[in-house]
This record gives sequence, C-alpha cells and structure tokens, in this order.
Amino acid sequence: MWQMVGRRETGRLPPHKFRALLQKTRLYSIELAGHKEIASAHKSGVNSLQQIDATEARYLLSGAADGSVAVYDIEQATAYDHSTRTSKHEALFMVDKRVLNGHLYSVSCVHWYPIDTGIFVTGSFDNFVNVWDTNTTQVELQFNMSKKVYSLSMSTLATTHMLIATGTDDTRIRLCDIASGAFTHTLSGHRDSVWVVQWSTRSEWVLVSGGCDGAIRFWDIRRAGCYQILDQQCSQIGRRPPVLKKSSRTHGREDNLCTKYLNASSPIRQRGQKRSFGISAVDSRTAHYGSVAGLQMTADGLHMISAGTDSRLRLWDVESGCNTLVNYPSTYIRGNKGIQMAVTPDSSLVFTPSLNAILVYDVWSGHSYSSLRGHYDQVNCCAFHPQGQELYTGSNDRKILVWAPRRPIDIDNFDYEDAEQAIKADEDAWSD
Amino acid sequence: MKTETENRGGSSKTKESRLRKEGSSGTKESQLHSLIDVATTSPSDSLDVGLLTSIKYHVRASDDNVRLAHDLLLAKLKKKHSQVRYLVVLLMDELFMRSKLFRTLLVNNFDTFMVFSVGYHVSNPLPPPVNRATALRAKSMEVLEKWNDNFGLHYKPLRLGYEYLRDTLHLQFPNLRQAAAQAEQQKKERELRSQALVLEKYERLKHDFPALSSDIEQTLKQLEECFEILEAEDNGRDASAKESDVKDDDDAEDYEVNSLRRALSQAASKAPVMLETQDNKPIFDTMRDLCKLICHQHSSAIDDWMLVLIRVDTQDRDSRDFLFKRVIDIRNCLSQAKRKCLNLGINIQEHNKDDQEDEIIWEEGGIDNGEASATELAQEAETRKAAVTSIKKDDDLLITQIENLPAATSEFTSGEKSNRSQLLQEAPVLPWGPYLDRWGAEHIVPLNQRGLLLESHWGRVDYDALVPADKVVELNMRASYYTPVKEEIPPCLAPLKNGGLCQRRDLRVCPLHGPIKQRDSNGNVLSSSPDDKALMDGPRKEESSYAGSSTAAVTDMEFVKDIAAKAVANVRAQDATESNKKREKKLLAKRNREHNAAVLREAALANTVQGLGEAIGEELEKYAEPNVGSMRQTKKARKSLRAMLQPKPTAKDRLAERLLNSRANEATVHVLTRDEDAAYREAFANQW
Repeated sequence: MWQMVGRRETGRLPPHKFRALLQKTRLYSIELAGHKEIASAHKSGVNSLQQIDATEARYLLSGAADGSVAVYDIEQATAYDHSTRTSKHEALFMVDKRVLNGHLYSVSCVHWYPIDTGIFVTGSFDNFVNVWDTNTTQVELQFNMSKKVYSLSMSTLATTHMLIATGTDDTRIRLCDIASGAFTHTLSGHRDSVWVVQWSTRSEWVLVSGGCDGAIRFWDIRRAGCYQILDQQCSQIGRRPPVLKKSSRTHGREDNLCTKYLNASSPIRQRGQKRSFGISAVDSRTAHYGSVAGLQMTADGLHMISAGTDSRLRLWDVESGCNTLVNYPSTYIRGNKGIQMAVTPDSSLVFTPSLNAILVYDVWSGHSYSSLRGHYDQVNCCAFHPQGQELYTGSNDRKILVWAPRRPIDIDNFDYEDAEQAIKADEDAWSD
Repeated sequence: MKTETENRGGSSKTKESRLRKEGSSGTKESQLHSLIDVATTSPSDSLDVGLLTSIKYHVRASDDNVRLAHDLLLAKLKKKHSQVRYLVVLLMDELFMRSKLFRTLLVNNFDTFMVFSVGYHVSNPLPPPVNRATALRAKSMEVLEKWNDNFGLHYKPLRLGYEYLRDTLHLQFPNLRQAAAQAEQQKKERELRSQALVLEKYERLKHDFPALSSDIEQTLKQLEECFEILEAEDNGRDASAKESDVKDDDDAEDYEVNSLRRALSQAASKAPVMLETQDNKPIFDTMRDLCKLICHQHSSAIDDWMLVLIRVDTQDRDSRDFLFKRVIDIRNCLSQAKRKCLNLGINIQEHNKDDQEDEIIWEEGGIDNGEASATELAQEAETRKAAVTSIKKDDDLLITQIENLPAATSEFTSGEKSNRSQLLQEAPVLPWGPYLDRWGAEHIVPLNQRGLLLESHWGRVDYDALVPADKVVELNMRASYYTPVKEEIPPCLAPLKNGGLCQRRDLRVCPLHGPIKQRDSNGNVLSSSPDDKALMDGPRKEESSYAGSSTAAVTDMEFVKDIAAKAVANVRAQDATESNKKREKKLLAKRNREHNAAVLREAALANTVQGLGEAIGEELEKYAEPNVGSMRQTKKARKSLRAMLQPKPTAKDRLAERLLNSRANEATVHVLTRDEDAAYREAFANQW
C-alpha cells in the first residue's frame, strides 16, 4: 500500500492506475462488514435492492416479500452500538400495504428514478407497477400490468424518453411512460414469462430481456420486433453454428443465418417457412437451457453476463451476440423469479447469489475468488456500491447484509481498553 | 482408509492440510482420528472424560490439529445418525469454548453446522433415531445460545445465525441466561415479601408483647404458687425464700423474671419428690393444666416470636435486642417450670392417656398378651376337665395331653410359670374346626325339622326329637389331613462347562451327571462324606464278622478286591484333580490376559495424554490406542448405534404378525365359510 503511494508520489504510477489498484486490493478483501449493519425493517425475505441513486449514491432501496419497500441511508448511521462497535442503519421510511394503493403482495423489483431520488418505482406480484413520491411516500401513479410483474428497468442514459420497461408473467414486455401514465410499447417475442429486463448501458434505445423460455432478446425501441436473439451455441463471429441434420432437411437456406450475425443491427427476418412445431430456427435459439434468471451489463455496455436456472453464468459479447465461452464454476440458482447480480464498475468482478452464499467470479477468466457466506437462507439480490466498494445483499432470511473491505483501525478514536477486553474475551481458553 | 472416504467430499482445505501433514505426523493424525472416531461412537449421553481429555490434549498441540479436528468433526456431523451428531456437538462445544482458531473455522461455514445440528432446513431433516434427534436439537440450541452469549460480539455469522433461528424461524431457545435472571428476581421478590410479613409480625409482637408476657408470667406465678403449696404441705421449706418471692412481685418486670427464675431454681434444687395423694389432687390437677398450657401454647408462641425476631431486619436494633432478651428469659423460665413439673411426675401425655381411658376401656388389656390368653386357656380347660375324659376316639396324643391338663392347671395355680410355659410349648396346635364347638359335650342335642337346635334360640322345642350322644360324637369327629413333610431336595452341584454348578434337583440320579453325590462349593466330590464311608464300611464289617467263621483265602480275596477298587478310585480321583487343575490354570491365564489388556489400554490412553508414545516406541502403539485396544469397545458401540436406528417391535407388530399372516387369514375364512354353510344347511334343510 505504502509502496504504491510512494510510486504514485514519484509519478511512476499514473493516477487512474493507482486508483484501480487500490480498488482492486480492497475488492479482493471483501468480507462481512463488522462496522456496518442494516437493520432490516421487513417482516419477510428481501427480494430486491437498489442503491445506486444517481445523484448521491447514498440511499438504498429495498423491496420485500411482504409488500413493503424501505429506504436506508447507508452513509449516515442512525445508531451506534458501542459493544459491537457497529453503526446501525435503520430505515428512513418504510411503505407497505397500509399506504393507499400500496403493494399487496411481494415486491419483486424496485428502482430509483435515474435522475434524482424524488421518485422511485416498484413492481409487485399484485400486478401493479407503482410510481412513488419519495417525499410524501405516496403512490403517484399506477400501471396495471394484469399479470405478475417480475422485473422493471429505467434507463440511466436516457435523455429523450423516460420509459419503464416491465417484464411480467405475460409474454409481452411493456414500456410505461411516466409522463403520460400509459403504455407506449408492447414488445412481443418471448414465448414465456419475462423475468428480467434491462436497458443497455450503451444506447438509450436498446433494451435487453430474458425470459423463462431461455432466450435473451435485444430490442431497439425505435423499431418493431427484436433485432437479436443470443444463441449459446454461437461463439465465433462469421462461423455458423453446427447445423442439425433435421433442421437442414427442413430448411434449404440455412446459410442465411451467418449473414445475420455479421449484420447484427438488422432486424430478424421472419421466415415464411415454419418448422413442424411452429417455431422458426432463429426464434428457437436459447441462451440458457433453463430460464434466464439474471442479466447484468457491464458498465461500458460492451459485455453482458447472464445467469440461468441451468446453474450457468454466461458472458456475452453484446456487439456480435457471441457466447464468449468463459467457463464460470456452476452456481445454484433455483426459484420462480429472477435474481439480481452485480458487476463492479471496472468490470473485473461479478457477484452472483447462489443459494445461501454470494459467489465472486472474475468476469474475464471465470475464476472463482470466494464465496461470501453469512446468509442463512436463499439470497435474492445484491447491489454494489461503487465508491465504498461495498456490497449489499438481500436474502429470504430477512436480513440485508453489508460486505465491505476490511477497515483499517481508526486510530483517532480507538479505545485501547475496550479492544484489549475484546481480545481477552476471544482468546484461547485451554484449561487442560 | 476410512478417513479418506469420509473426507472425499470435504473441502479442498482438508486435503491440503492432510497432505501437508502426511509426512510429518501421520501417526498423530491417525491417533486423533481414531480418538474422535471412538468418542463419537458411543450410545451414552455424554462424552467419555478420558477420551475428551486426550482429544483436547491432541488438539491443543498445534493449529494443524485444530484444523484437522474441525474437518473431522464436520465430516462426522454429516453422518446420518443423531446420536453421532449429538456427541459431535458436545465435542465441538468443548473445543469451541477453548480454541479461537476452532471458532473462526467453525464460524466460516456456520450454516452447515446449523443445518446439521439444529436441522431447521426442510431438505435436511435430522436423521433417526427420533428421541436422539430431539435431544440433539435441544442440545445444539442450548449450545448455540451459549456461544452467542459468549462470543456473539466477535463473530458476526454466529450472531446472525442465532438471530435467524430466533427471529425468522421463531425457534424457542432455552434462554438460560434470562431464565436464571428471572429466577433470581423471583427469589428476591419472595424474600422481600416474606421480610414484609415478618416485619408486620414483629410490629404486632411489639405491640402485644406486654399483654402476652404478663399472661405467661401469671401462668408461671400460679405454677409457682402450686409448688409453694406443695412444699408447704411437705413443710420442708424455709420461710425466707417465700417472703422474698412475695416481695419480688411488686418489683419491675425485668427483675421479677430474674427472681422468678432464681426461686424456681431454688425450688427445683430443694424440692423432694412428692407423690400425688388424694389430698393434693386438685393442686396436681391445676398444675397439670398449667403445664399443658405452657407446653402447648406458650412455648410454641415463644418459638414463633424467636423466629420472627431472628428473621426480622429492622432499623430499630435496640428495641429488637431488648425484646429478644426478654423473650429468651421467658423461654428459659418456661423450660425450667416445665422441667420442674416433670420432676414432680406430672406427665401431660400420661394425663391425656388417662382421659382416654375413661372413654375406651378395652384398650387396657392387649389381646395378644401371652399371659392373659394362657390364663383363659387354663380356665377353659378347668371347666372342661370332667368332660375331657369321656372323649375316647381322638388321637392318643390328644388324650395324653388332655390327661396332662389337670396337672398343668394345678401347677399353674401353684404359680410355677416355667412349667406351664413348657407345657404350652408341648401342647399340640390344632386347626380350628366345628368339632371344637362341642368339645367333650356329652349331652344330647334337640332337633327339629330345620336341623340341630342350638342354645339360645327362641323357638319351640320338641323334646322328643333328639340326637343321641354317640351320634353327636360321631358328627363331631375331628378330621385331620395328611401333610407330607416338606424336605428340600439338594441340588446336583456337578460342575458345568460355563463355570457354574448344576442346579438340577433330583432325588437319586441326575439325568445329566449321574448319581447325586455330596459336593463342596466348587463342585468337587467329597469322597470322605459319611454316606460313602458308611457304604465302604458296610462290607468291611461284614468281612470282620465273616472272619471268624470262614477261611483265610476268602478274606484275602475280599481284601484284594477291596484294594483294587481303592486303586481304581485313587486313579480316578487323581485324574479328576488334574483336570481341575488344568481348568483352573486356563481360567487364571484368561484372567491374566484380560488384566494385561486392560493395563495396556490404560497405559495407551495415558500415553496419548502425556505424549510418551514416541518414547516407548512403536511396539506399544501396536497394542495401544483405540485402534486395537478398544476396537472391541468401538464395535460394541457401533452395534448399539445401529440398534438405535432399528425400530423396536411393538406389541401391535407382534400381534399383527400373528394375526395377519396368510395362514391365519385362510383359517379364519375357512371357519367363517364353514359356519355360514352350516347355518344355511340348517335353515334350508329341505333343500338338502
């Protein structure tokens, strides 16, 4: 550490590199934080977390299975416990079904308004997408989706639209417009319920969705239909996927597929010829053998990581739509809803919930760094705080845990007596 | 080998640590492994103390050993047997409370521990047997709570796990700490309440004390006056003391009590023993009453006061002490008075008894009084003396006894008790029967159609219908039954293979061991037993009687035969003793071997503790250690563990086995159909 500082001082280490190195060392030492604790206000499992409010990166939003939504301040502690030397963060406020038009059933997804923290959006299994005013903690707008809402997303890049993309139990993806309170788009293409939707971090028009049918589709909202379906078999540009004998018999012009890959931005041509079970070859491509449970774009928007119920993680090259074939060790993702993964801003690590633990993988090599254990029930979601290198995870055991790099001892207000006592209490005690 | 298979599924760390240690301390590792193996395979509720100490010793030796123990215990915890898991939890608790490294290791995958010990997860329920599983859960919850209390601050996952079980799953923890605090609180409250009660009593006592004490003093004074009267009667008393007493009455209370005591003591020292006569009976009666009052009322009241004064905790110490002194004084006076009463021979209990006597008379003479019954018997015999002689048909013995009777009675009247008791001992005990009703009665009995007319009936009497005397006697004949003399048949007592003795009881010949002979406690034949001697002597006597009349040759022959027989007997006896000796030797050797094994085992265990194993060498290790030494024990424990898993056959099962098998079914069906058939045939006989 000090060596690094010295090199920075002499100028041998450029500032951005210094920062990256520092962040990396901190990241790899991430563990259950002893100094910070979030007192969960929920009475049941935490389904969804989002803490990156664009302005301050300070407020954590959590939605739980009992229909409640709470907001925590993760910078300013509400209480300090001297015996354990932890700062406690209690909920700033909580809304649940007692509020007018509040969610009745499990809240499956929460999202801050990308511009400021005045608005947040929640989707729930009671078919509604609610738009809340943070200051009055009242529902300002409601969208009835007529099916369970699994996921919603707002684009952080968008300057020309402010659409909420929603994935529901229905096969169609709908885009809700906050300004008008109406649906602007209905995107149909998935053949089963859509568990994840996410706006691209590269283009404000591009939306990615993953569904129970195992397909990941890319949509450009300026055009009709989806323009890309990811195929787990396709791993090289310009190389067509292995052709099955059966399909070659039914389709004479299979070679056309290749051109599609090269010309990624063109919409898919729906072939007139139907296969025996009524689905075209392009349409039946899958990204996972099970359903797609999680999607996470890297910060630069060039790559995307998807998680499926086939216990695999896949890294996709967004531009070409190829499977990069990075081999991640298998995870354990089950359940009947999507999960939230998290990727560090420098796209080096990905955090994936896997049963009771959170697995940490290197994005590019697939190497498993560690598994963060601390939850006693299934973990549903994780959110990464970019500035403090802190990870927040929510689980069915009603806890929101904070994972942080080990903190250097705060010398200014360090109580030696206390520390000594604490050490003494935790020493070996062999009597014989 | 077993270790390998067990830990194959374990973490990679296990293998690493194993590899690391394979070269350096393979034996130690295997020792620890076998120790843990033995400690966790036992059907008992607690860990073996010796094993525990040796495990602790091993684990303490190095950090690697702690890691190894942790891995081994986790692997053991995954066994599908609740008893094993229970013991593992106990062992883990011991290590957890001691080693910091063990704590950190265990806390790292605490959810595994919780799943396998508390069994909260649906997919991982606790394995059978059920009763052990409940014990396991209770124990692990208790342990968890203890850990959380002690180390929850330092280990966050531990705290989180505890909170998860308590708040999310709503499991009921034993909550020992709180329970103890609550008990303490309750105890305190109870004490406070009782203290308040005592205080209240004390206040009341303080208020009432003058009245009560004057009451008692009055009683004492009366008693004293009684004594004085008695003494005056006895006129063995000097006047000065009396005067002083009278004087004292006017003085202060405190002084009075003292003087009273003095007077009492004087009186007690001087008072001669007086007897109750007709003249002083009323005085004695009043004294008795007073004494009773003292015994029953005043002393118990005083005791109560003492208790109150001892237990009360008041600010006003002086008044309490003053009261205390007074009460003690009064008590002493009372006890003195009581003693004096007793000296005079006044007994409250006796008095009470006398009272009872008036009401219930029969209590006086105990029924089972030997003398009384004897006199009654004698009287009866006297009255019947005349009749007795006429009975002729009874046993001879009876007759002689009856003839003896008059003599006995006469002796009794002369007062020779010893003779009478002797006779009583000799007298035969006859079972009761109707013949005793008319013992020796000679008169004829009237009769009507209802039967014999007995005395004291109010009906008509027909004097013609009579039963003659000889008929009556015939009717009254005593019937006695033969009861064989019970004689215990001695057991055969021949030695058995298993070391015991044959317990068959046969008269002459045991079917297994031949003719029954007298044997000593080891089963050896007593050849010099008197019976045998008699048998041997028999022919010799004959021989000697023969000797005079027959020839010498014959005697020689007999003699030779005798000698031959003796020789044969000798040889056989020798053989028997030899075989006995062999058997004993074998037994001894076996015992020695067992003893040696036990000693070795102990040495081995001690050896693991003190690390002497290396010093002595490998030879000991071959014998020692749970590997070989307690292998049998482990096997036994395994067996019992397996037995725990098997369901016990209930009465229902046994009945079902008997009743629901196919044969029984068929038989039942057969019987039913046959019965039905028969009924049908009977009902519609015309069709057949």
